[in-house]
Amino acid sequence: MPVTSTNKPSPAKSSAGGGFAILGAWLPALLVLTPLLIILWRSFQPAGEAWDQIVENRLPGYLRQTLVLLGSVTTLAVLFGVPAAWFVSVYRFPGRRFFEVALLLPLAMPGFIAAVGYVDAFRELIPVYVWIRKNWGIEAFLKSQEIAPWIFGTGVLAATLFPYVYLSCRAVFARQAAGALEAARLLGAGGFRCFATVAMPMARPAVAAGASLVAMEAVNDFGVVTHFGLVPLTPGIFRAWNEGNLVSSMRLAMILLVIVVIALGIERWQRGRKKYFTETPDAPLTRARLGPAGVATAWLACGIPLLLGFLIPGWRLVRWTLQSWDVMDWPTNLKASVNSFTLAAGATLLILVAAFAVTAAHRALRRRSLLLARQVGVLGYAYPGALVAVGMGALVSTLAFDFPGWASLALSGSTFGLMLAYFIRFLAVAIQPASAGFERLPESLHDAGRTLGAGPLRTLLEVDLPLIRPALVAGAALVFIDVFKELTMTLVLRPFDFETLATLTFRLTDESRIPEAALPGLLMVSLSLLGLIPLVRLLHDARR
Amino acid sequence: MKPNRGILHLLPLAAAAFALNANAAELNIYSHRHYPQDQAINKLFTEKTGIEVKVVNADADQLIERLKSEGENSPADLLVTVDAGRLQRAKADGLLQPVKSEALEKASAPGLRDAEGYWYPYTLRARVILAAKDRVQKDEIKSYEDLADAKWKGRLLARSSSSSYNQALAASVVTANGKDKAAEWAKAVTANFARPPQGGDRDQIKAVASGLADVCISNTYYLGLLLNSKDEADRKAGESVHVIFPNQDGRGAHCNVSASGITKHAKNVEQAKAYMEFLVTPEVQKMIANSTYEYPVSGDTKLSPTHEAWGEFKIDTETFPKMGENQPEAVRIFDQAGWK
Repeated sequence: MPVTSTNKPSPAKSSAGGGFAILGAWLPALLVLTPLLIILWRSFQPAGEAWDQIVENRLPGYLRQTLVLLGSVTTLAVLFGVPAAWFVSVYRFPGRRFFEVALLLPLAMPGFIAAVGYVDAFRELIPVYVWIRKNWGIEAFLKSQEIAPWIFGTGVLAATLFPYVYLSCRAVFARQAAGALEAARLLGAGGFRCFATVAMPMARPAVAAGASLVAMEAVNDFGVVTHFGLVPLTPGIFRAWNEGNLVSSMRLAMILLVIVVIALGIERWQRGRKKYFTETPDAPLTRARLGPAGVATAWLACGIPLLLGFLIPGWRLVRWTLQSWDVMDWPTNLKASVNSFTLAAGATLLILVAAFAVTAAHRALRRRSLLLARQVGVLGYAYPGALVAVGMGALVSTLAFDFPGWASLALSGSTFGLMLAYFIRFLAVAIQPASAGFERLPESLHDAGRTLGAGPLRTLLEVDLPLIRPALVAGAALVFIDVFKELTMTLVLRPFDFETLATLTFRLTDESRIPEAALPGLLMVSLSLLGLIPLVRLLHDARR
Repeated sequence: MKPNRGILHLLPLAAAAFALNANAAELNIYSHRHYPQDQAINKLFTEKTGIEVKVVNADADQLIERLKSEGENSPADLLVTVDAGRLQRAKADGLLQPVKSEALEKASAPGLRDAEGYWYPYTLRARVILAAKDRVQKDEIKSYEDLADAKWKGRLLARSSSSSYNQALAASVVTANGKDKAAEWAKAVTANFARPPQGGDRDQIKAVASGLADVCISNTYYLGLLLNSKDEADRKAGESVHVIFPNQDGRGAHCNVSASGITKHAKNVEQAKAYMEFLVTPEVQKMIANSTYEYPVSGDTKLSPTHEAWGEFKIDTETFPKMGENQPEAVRIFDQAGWK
């Protein structure tokens, strides 16, 4: 049964330990704040004529494209993710177990890799465009050329990002809404009615949470939009920076940040003040059997996103890899794999500890300021990757001024700078599930631990940690995959002779050496799949 | 902002970076070039001299920004770009130092290198017009200016204006015809595009080959790579277009260069100079002509059969020195024209 919680008075008294915890919770948030502060400070410096020119000629297009991209990708991702989650959670049909796990696979398929597969498909459509020109005239042809990149770009992004929506909805459909759905069924409601009147209203916060992740990924995307020739804000920021207009690029980033903050605000508003959890253990739903028409619909709902987001591009990669097997540069690929793996594992560990610190401190101390620390920590995800890199560059020059000799060298030319950038950018990815985990966990459990005499730290480690472990593991898996796939910041901040699978794939595709790019792409997908294993196990645990 | 000393003490990597710097037999390159052939060239250099070559690959602009932010702590000895304009800018920003070398001066034409020796070219890239053999006569287009003709509406392809190749081309049009005429040109050319710019030069050639458009702007070496590809579809695409060297009755075809300059705060100046001289040796120049299908900068080098088939052409050395200076204007013109 949904319960609306009220703010209980905090049981924790201020102490030295509390002060330390507050510091520990704020430190990650302050790190996340650093690039923002640098950008704020620098973007009020004069930008000269370059800025006027950007505002006049480029900004309207950037804004339009960003908003269209945001709207279309999120909508499509919801259309892919929600029905798939619904069928997998609520019904029994042949292939259900396969789809349940397989629908996570697109998480391991970086958008820019999938995009490469579709560039090829895009090219194979050329006879169609030529036919349009011949039969419908030049204007229709030009229109088709304008629309096609949007269809492909939106499609690729939505098909690789929808699992965020799928995951968050699955949890609701399978467990939290189970009792209500069971009751609706007993009262005679049909499948669609159950979905529309019971499941969807209950899943709305989860849809919003998943969609907000999709939205942030979409506006931060650089690889996919560049491939299809779309020009929303992120490539615009990168471009202004490339042209040497650092201040302009920072201002564009601020605009993008405002858009993202508005989107996040909408998510919060959707969620409202309601918290959905039950004080009693969740009872899994008894799955209803589907008729033949139902099975066909379920297969379509689950199969289409899976095909588009994983199977088709994956099949392309395999085909290209086999084609260019003889000319493959194995040592380079192996080295890049090790680099990618080490970076992702290291960043995940750092981020996980920080995410727990930020969310747990709030649970134990229930200070408003700690809620703020959490919200600040989440902000990093909204930063354009390119701007975290620029912010780091600016930070480095500040440091170098105070530490002549080696500060800049150590920061800009080592994996340390890269780690810090990952930390800033992806802390939110772990905080979101951790904080959702805490939200689902009744505060009474923590309070019980405290009442029985355990200190806040001990209660957190012995009561809360085991209970939110699944959420943390899910967060860790998502962070791992995100860092593994990260391209933009890695391109700029990586040290000498240091190539990750992402930068290697990007470089090779940029040089149109597509068949050779397939192997690092495929390796990236395969190793990202390792990161999915905890998520899959989590689903199994949930089923039990 | 007070930096956190605690964080910096945690950096064992800094010590490693120091140790690397102390090693004399090495050369650190910031490079925009990243072809497999470059690795082969570097390997050969190490074999011949014992100097280890370390490369950071990135966009020239990013590398320039990085050089600026690193200041005298920069580990880079040499900056390699594929655009003379970027090197002209790096020189103006005080990021390079001059080098005097007879071998380098002898290797390239005076019009194609820095007069004060701040940077020297080692490959040449011609930006030309390619047209579908079965749909466009070779004499239908004679100049870059002809691309503005409305008869090419929906028939022309070019990559994004963020490409330094296009910016350099537009800068040359600005130098040759003045700002206003160049702006009109860019606008008319953009209006002729068959699709919003996307992909690289090779993608434009392939799209022309498949019938999406009839004409495109491309560097010749991309065509060379297609013509010599292992992939049959690539070769067929390459064979379906002819090369038109524009403005042969006037200023000549627009060319850019791959070039290198020693950084202001280079720690391995001698090694960097040796590397630059190595790049213009006949051996390396021949490697370039036969692998990347760029033009070797040294006129004595024997060209590949692919180059021979395209024929000789006149290079635009007239607008070349102003490439960097007029690049901001070129960007402005592209923006106003809506060339994405």
